[in-house]
Formats: sequence, C-alpha cells, structure tokens
Amino acid sequence: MSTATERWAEVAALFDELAELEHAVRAQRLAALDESDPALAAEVRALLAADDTPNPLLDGELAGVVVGIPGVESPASAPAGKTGPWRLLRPLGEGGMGVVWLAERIDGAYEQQVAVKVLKRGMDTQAILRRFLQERRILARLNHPNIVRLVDGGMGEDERPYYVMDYVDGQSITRHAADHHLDVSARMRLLARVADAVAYAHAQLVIHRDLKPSNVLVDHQGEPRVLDFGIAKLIEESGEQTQTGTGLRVMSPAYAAPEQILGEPIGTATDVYALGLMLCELLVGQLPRQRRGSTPAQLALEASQEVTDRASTLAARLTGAQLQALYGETADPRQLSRMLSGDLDLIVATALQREPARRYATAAAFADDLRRWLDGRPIAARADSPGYRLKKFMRRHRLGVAASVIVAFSLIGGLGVALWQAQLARAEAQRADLERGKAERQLARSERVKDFILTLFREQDPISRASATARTPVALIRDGIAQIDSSLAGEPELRAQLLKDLGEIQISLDDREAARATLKRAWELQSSLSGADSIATAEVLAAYGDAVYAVGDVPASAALLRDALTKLRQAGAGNLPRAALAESSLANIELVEGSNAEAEKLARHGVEVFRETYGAEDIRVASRLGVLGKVQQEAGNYPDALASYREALAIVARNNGEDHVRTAMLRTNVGDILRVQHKYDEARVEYETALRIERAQLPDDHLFVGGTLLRLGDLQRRMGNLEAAEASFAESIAILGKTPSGQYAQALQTYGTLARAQGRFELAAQRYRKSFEAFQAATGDSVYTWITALLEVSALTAAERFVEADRLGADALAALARVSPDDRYNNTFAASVVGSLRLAESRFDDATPLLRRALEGVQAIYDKDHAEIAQARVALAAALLGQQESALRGEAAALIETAIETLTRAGDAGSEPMLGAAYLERSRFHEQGGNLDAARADVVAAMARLRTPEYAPKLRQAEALARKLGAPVGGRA
Amino acid sequence: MAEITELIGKARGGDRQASERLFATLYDELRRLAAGQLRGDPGMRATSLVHEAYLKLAHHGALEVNDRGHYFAVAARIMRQIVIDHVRSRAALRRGGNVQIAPLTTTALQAVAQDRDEEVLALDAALGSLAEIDPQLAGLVEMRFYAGLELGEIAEVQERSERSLKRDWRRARAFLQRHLTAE
Repeated sequence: MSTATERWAEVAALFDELAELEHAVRAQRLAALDESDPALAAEVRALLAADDTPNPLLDGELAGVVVGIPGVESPASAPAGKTGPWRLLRPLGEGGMGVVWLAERIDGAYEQQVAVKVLKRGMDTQAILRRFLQERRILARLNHPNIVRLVDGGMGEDERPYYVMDYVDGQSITRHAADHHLDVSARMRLLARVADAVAYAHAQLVIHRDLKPSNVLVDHQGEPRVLDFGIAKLIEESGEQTQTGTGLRVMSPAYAAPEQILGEPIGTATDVYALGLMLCELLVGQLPRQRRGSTPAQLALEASQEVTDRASTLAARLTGAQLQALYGETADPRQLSRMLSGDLDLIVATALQREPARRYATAAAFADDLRRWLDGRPIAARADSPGYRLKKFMRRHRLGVAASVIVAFSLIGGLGVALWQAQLARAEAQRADLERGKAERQLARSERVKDFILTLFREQDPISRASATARTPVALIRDGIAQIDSSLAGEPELRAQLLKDLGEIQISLDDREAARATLKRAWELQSSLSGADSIATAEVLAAYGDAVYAVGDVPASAALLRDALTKLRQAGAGNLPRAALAESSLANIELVEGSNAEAEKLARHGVEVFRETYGAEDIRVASRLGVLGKVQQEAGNYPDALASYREALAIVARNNGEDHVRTAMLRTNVGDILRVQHKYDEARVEYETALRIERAQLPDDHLFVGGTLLRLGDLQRRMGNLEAAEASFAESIAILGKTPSGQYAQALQTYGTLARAQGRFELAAQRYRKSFEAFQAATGDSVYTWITALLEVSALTAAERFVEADRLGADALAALARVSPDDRYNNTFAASVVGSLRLAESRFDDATPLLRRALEGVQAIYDKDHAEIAQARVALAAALLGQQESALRGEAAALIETAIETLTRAGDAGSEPMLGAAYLERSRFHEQGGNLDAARADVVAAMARLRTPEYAPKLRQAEALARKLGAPVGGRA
Repeated sequence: MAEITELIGKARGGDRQASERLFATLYDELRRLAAGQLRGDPGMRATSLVHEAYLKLAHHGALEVNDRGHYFAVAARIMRQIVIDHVRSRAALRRGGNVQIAPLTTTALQAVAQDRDEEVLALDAALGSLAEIDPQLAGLVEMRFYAGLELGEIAEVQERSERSLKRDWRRARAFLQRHLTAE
C-alpha cells in the first residue's frame, strides 16, 4: 500500500524488538541504526521516548477525564486505593450513587474494619451530591444499636465525597432466618428489634422509604442492623426529596407502599407498610401480593386496588421443600398456618392497609403488637375490628363459602332444587379452586414479572432514551409487547397473560388494530396452553372480542363475545368480572342490533357481578352502571336510565371528585335524557358543565370535546339559538371527522337538522345523506342508519323531492321492520315521517292511518301536554281535513282545538310555529265549512307564527290560502 | 434486533450500507445505555456499557457467537464516536451554539475542565492518524479505550494471544503519546 504504511510496519517491528531490550542494548542497536537509516532511528527513538512518558489520559480511564461520559469503572476491576485516611480493601457493593468498599484505617488509629461509601465517578451533579450528603447527614443524626453507625466522612483526594460506616458482616434478615431455621417467635423478636430501630429513626424525623430484607443485615451475634438510608427523607423537609417522581425511579417497586407508587404523601406509615411486608416474607418466604403492572400507570392502578393474601393462606400453600428451606426439616405446614391465622394475619393485614391512616400509626405501635403477640396478650389490631380487611376477604369469598354450605344442605335434603343448587355450588367451588391455583402460579412468576417491569421502567424513563422525544403510551405498550416475546420466550403462560393485559390497555389507548393483533395472539397462545374451553382462554377470548368490536367488526365481535360467555358460564365462571365485562360489551352490540331486552338483561347482570365482587361504592361499578343506563336510555326507559346514571355520577364524584372527566361523560348522558324529555334548560346545564370539565382536562381536539359540542349544538338549535349551534357543530365536526365513527355520523345528522331548522332543506338532505353513509360505515344496517334515512326523507319532503323521498322511505320502513321490529319510538317516528310525506303529496287517504299511528305512539311515549303530541294531532287533523269528508270534520276540529289549547298553554317560543301550523289547519277547517271570516282570522294568525325558516313550506301554504280567502298576506319578515 | 446478525454478516462481507446501518443501530442502543449509566442506573453498572449492549443483543438472539469480535470492534468505534460527539457538542454549547445534546445534559457538563476536553479531541486526532497507517492497531485502542475491554477480553474475541496484544498496545500507546506531544 502506501509508503507511510510500509514505513510504519518497519518502525513498528523495530519498536517491538527494542522496547523489550535493556536500555544499554537498546542504545547500541539505535546507534547502529543511525548509520544505516538515521530517519528510521529517529522515529523509533521518539516512539521509545514516548513509551517511557506517563500520560494520565492514556494510562487512566477515559471516563475519568470526561465528566458526564459513562465510564467503564467497575468496582471489581478498579484498583483498591485510598480515600482520606482510609485504605480501600475490596468493594462490598454499590448503589445508585456510590460504591461501598470494605476499608481500614491507614494509620491503625481505628481497629475495626469499616464500610466506606464513595460517590461514583461521573455522579457529582449538584442533585446527586446533595442527595449523597443528605444521606450522610441523616446517618449522622441516628445513633441506635440496630442502625448502621456513621464513623467518619470527608472529601477524597479526587474531590469525591465519602463517608464511613460500621461494617456489618452479615446476611439479609430473611437469609439469616432461613439459614438458622429460626422459629416463628424468634423471627418475630428479630423483626421487633428492626421495628424498634425504625421507630427510633421516626422519632429522629427520618423516614427510611426503602426498607426491604436486603437493607436489614443480621450480624454473627444475631443483631439486626438497618442500613442504606440512600433515599431516606427528613420529615420536616419539603421540596425536592418529597417529589415522588424521583421516588418512583429509585424505590423498589416490589416493596413500595401504594402511596409511593401513587405519588401520594409519604409518612412513617410508609415504613410500617414495608415492615409488614418484611414480616410476611420472614414468616412465609413470600410477599403477600404481587404487582403485575408493567407501566407506572398500571402499577398505580394495581396499587390503588391491591388486595393482599393472608399470611396463613400463603403458609398453607407452601410446598414441602419451601417450608423446609424456611424452617428446617421438622416444620409442619398446617401447624404454621394455624399459628399464623388469627392475630398474626391481622398484624400483617393492619400493616398492609391500602390507606396509610388505617395502618399502625408508627413503627413503635407495630413493634408493640409484635411483642403483645409474643407475650400472648391481645393485640391492638383487634381493637380496630371488626377487621375491615378480613371482612373484605370474606366478601370476596362469600360465594365459595356459601357453595360449601349448599353442598352440605343438598346431601341432607335431597330435593330437586337442592340438587340443582348443588350443581351450581360445585361449579362455584371448582372455580374457587381454579382461582387459587391461578394465584399460586402467579406468585411463582412474580420474580420474572418484576424483572420485566423493571425493564419497562428503564425503557420508559424518557431521559434514558436516545431520542429527545419521550415515547407516547401507545409506543410504550407496543415496545413492551415486543419485549415480552424476547424476554419471556421461555414462559408462555406469563407471556399469554401479559399479552392479554397489554392488549387490553391498547384497547383503552385506542390503538385498535394493534390491540386486535395482540389479543388474537394472546388467545391463540392461551388456547394452546390451557385448551380452547378453559376459563383463562375464554377470558382472553372475551378481551379479543372487545378488540374486534373496537376495530368496528361488530358481527365478528358479537360471535367472539357470545362464544366467550358461553364458555365462561359452562365453566361456572359466569360471575367473574371478566364475564361481566363481556356482557357489557355484548349489551352494547345487542343494543345496536335492536335487542333492547337482552341488552338490559346483560347490562344488569354486569352491574350485579361488579357490586358483588367489589362492593357497591367501588368506582368500577360506576362503569357498569353507565352501560346499564345507556341500555335503558336507548330502550326509552328514561326514569331508570336517569337513576343509573345518577348513581354512577355519585360514585365517581365520591371516588374521584366532582370534576373528574368521567363525571363529564355521565353528565352528557344525563343531558341527553333531559333533552329527549324536552327539559332543555336542565340539559344545557349538564352539557355546559361537561364541556367545562372536558376543556379543562383534555386536549382541545379530544373526541369527548367533539361529542359534547355536538350535543350542545343540537340543544342550541332546539332552543332556537342557531348561530351558536352552527359554531358548536362546526367545531364538533372538525374534531370528530378526524376519526370517522358513529359519533361523527351523529354529528353530521344533527348538522343536517340544523340546516333544516334554517329552512335549507336541500342542504339538510345532503347532510343527512352523509350521515346515513357514515352510520352505515360505522354501525352497518343499524337502527341509527335507518332513522337517519327517515330524517333524510323528511328533508326531501320539505324540499318537495317526493320521488326520492318515496323510494328512501320505503327502504327505511322495510329495514326498520327487519332491524328493530318492536321498537315503539322508531315505529312512531317512521309513521310520522312517512305520514307527513303522504300529507305533502296530498295522498290523504294513505296519510291518515300512518299519522293516527304516530299520534298513538307519541301519546304513549310523552306526557299528555307534550308539544310532540300537539304536533301529531295537527298533522292527523290535516290528513283528515284533506280527505274532504264531512264525517271526519268533527274529529279534526277536536284534534285542532286540543292542540291549540296545549300549545297556547305551553306559551314558549318553540311552540309558536307549531301553533301557527294548528291555526293554518283551523283556517282550512273554517274555509271548508264556509266560515270565511274565521278562516281569514286564523290564516292571519298562522302566517304571523310561521315565520321560522323551518316552517317555510307551511308558510307558503298559509299564504296561498290567505290569497284564496282574500286575506292580507302582509310583508315577509 | 434480529437484523443485527444479518447486518454484521453483510458488513463483514464489505456491504457498506449494512455497515452504516449497523453503526446507526448500535449507536442508538449504546447512547441510550450511556445516558442510563450517566444517571447512575444501578441496573447498568455491573458491566461496561458495551458488554451490557452485547448481552442484550445476544439475549435477543441478535448475535451469534462468531459475531463477537466484529461486534466489539464496531461498538468500540461507536463509543469513540459517542465520546467525541459528546465533547464536541458540549464545546459548542459552551460557545453558545445551538446543539441538541438532550440525553447527556446534566449539571456535570458545567463542571468539566476545558483543557481536558481538548486532550480528548487531540487523542481522537492522533487515533485518526494511527488509523490511516494501521487500522487494526487503532481498532485495538478503540476497544480498550472506549469499549473498556481488558486486553484479555480482546484477546478472546479476536482469538489472539494476550501477549501479542500487549505488545500491540504498547506500540499503539507510544504512537499516540508521540503524536500528542509532537503537536
């Protein structure tokens, strides 16, 4: 190649050779080389000189030079050195900020070996430095035999701070107990001392926040020592350290108290919770609950709803090998379980209350109860009875308990009914077994899940991402799913379960196609693991059905959900929450398909299951009530629907506050019903409140905002405020049109109705047509689709496009008869629309029976004074009069008079044009009867009231009649 | 991830595009790990970054055993790039330039001494000169220096004796030292 390369090869060979030689020999060789090739000699000489020159950059670690560059420093390879007067012997371990070394005093002034914690290289940012010094400060104020002691502290030669603690040569508390086969009492005594130390720290205003077995070492004398106050907090301090955002990153999720995960205030009860966990782990070798959540949000959800197992239950489940490892050869699981059940269960349960206020107030109180138990005295936790937690447990297992009772009963009674009940009971008992088995398997997997969670945590941390942009939740979950495949390849069961959970989250994140794919895989995987008919598989199938529904494939979704429900019921799991969820989804589908009764039955069962499972006040019950209310609303059962919604609202408000987004959704539903009931002012209050909450808490273009604007716009239209309505609609449609859906279709429909109100019938027909198409795309051959078609018919009628109106009307009637044969409202509406069409076509014979049916329909639906009824009366009267038969005149007159009376009594602006229409018909009646003066008076009264654009066709009719009667037509307003 | 094996294969076969993509893929991964380590993420501390990335890739099935040598060589080059990018962007930041260095921005940046930065850049230049006449030797420096590999480990992945690597290292070090003082 190049001469430079060749030259270097020559130099290199010589350098290698000479570098190995003694200096004297080297000098000789170089002198000889000076003769033959002086340039080469000079080059090699320079290299050899460089070889002898020390260079900290070349000889040290690069990481030490560039602060902020991740180094390759590792405690194992770093040479032992010294820090201050301490000689570092070997690394003991490392935490986030520092490396802990075993060390001794260089001058021998202090005999004991110590542990020296040195701040890591590259860690000396202001925040970390503060944190490090904080730990030192905290340790300095703690002087307790069971807390590791601060010996010294200072700044090393390299300007890195360090501090010196007692060296505890020992094992973690759980390891120690197991290795020494300590009995239950000895374990309790040990933990009582730990609790004493924690109580002492609390008295010094220090909260540890990271208590776990690995932070409690027991030395050779059996003395426990609490260490690692690395994330401890001083109670009187505020600001940075109490920010739980940083807390989440540094704490150990498995041992964290719910409030740590939820970002709620941290106090001494947080340490009490950790002590409770440690007690349970000491006694049965396991944590009483697991966290399967894979995102902070999911973890938070779990933490907020956590139910823990009883220690005695865990003890009863221990295998022989586990028990031996914990307590030695002679241990007996039943004896252990008996020993733990009762007071010890209560102590653990009290320490582990979800609400900090329900726990032992202090570590001292916890320690006291441990000692009371050791002394055989009544424990204090009893005083708090009747054991909130145990009651909750009983409630959870009530069915199982009842099941065994019924089985016993049927054996004695031998009645047919009892046998049938027994069958149910056995299924219930089997289900309880299944659940228990499931719980055990989950427990065994908890470690792997924890690892997985930690990975996701790391991944999720936006700072650790190379790209400057933080990932969206959607991307996060997708990545999580990708990771499941690789990191849990060997654990198909766990993988199936996590796929299901994450797939469900995808549904809620609206990542629909991805959710469908994820849940399909979860279902296939679960089928291959536990069989196609197992409860687990049916549960995943139900979730898959939900995803398919979300994608919009309603028929396929219905089939999947029905299949899942059938399987769950056959397996005796029809009362699982998952089954109830599937029922809710199916109820929505039944609704779309027009089976109102079936929908309500399903939805009602869903509510009952959730009440039974979680308690009537639980927030999850509100969702089921929402579905039930929706079903009742759609079925026209307004009082019940309002009751369901209002109960849901109350639950949400109690749990999450009045301004929670979910209250907004429920309020729009309440508003919908009030609107249908023509209680416009009340409805408006609900909509405006909902909109205020949504605008405050959601992005501007959120679908909810669009939906509420749509409702408000419709209401404004009905209340006659067309300008405001137009603005609301325009904003709403802009938002909703981004993701075409049923709601978008509805927006277009209402937009059409607005055009009609403005007298722009052609435009209205166009908008209805668009809406019809959007409904067809979103809901298929549904009630909504064909109701919209009817609206289009009415617009075409007003535009006098009768041929098209006829054709579409016939299609709509046929479709509705097919889709929803028995729906009163739909049938009434159809009769009214087509009847009005016949009326406009002057086909009075055909119009009359239809409009009569319409009148009967609205009379059944609405209060007797409702404007709809008055309108229906006027329409029927018009049809009767149109037939020009004297026999019908009496009925027509009566209808008109009643309508005029009702509408006059109502006296609001909205009824004026309706009143105008009534006067028009009365004018016709008088004209037919030859009472021309009365006819003229009425037609003038009619024209004065028909100035609203929507009534333009009527006004034209009135004007024609007026001319015929010679009445003044007057200037058009 | 699985594409990495394929990329390594192609890159070894001289496919330039594959080589660039491999570089880009690993760059992201290592930078991410670097930022994590910078924050003192305990999970990232047991092994060097490059090892961490390697284990991860291997665990994903993205690497085969005979890819190791090539992987470490590329990874070392990347770490060098990361270090240099970091130092340069920080220098730009100090001059008031508008450079995005989001993931590595910490208060530590303000603490670093200017002249050390220059040393790092000078070393990079010297390494550049070495690469021109002896790319293999430059690769060794990269692996030792930026990937933090011990000579023993390098020997293993390159299937060479540690003794001969020691000799190479001494020569490389002398070259660099000479270039650092010559300018």
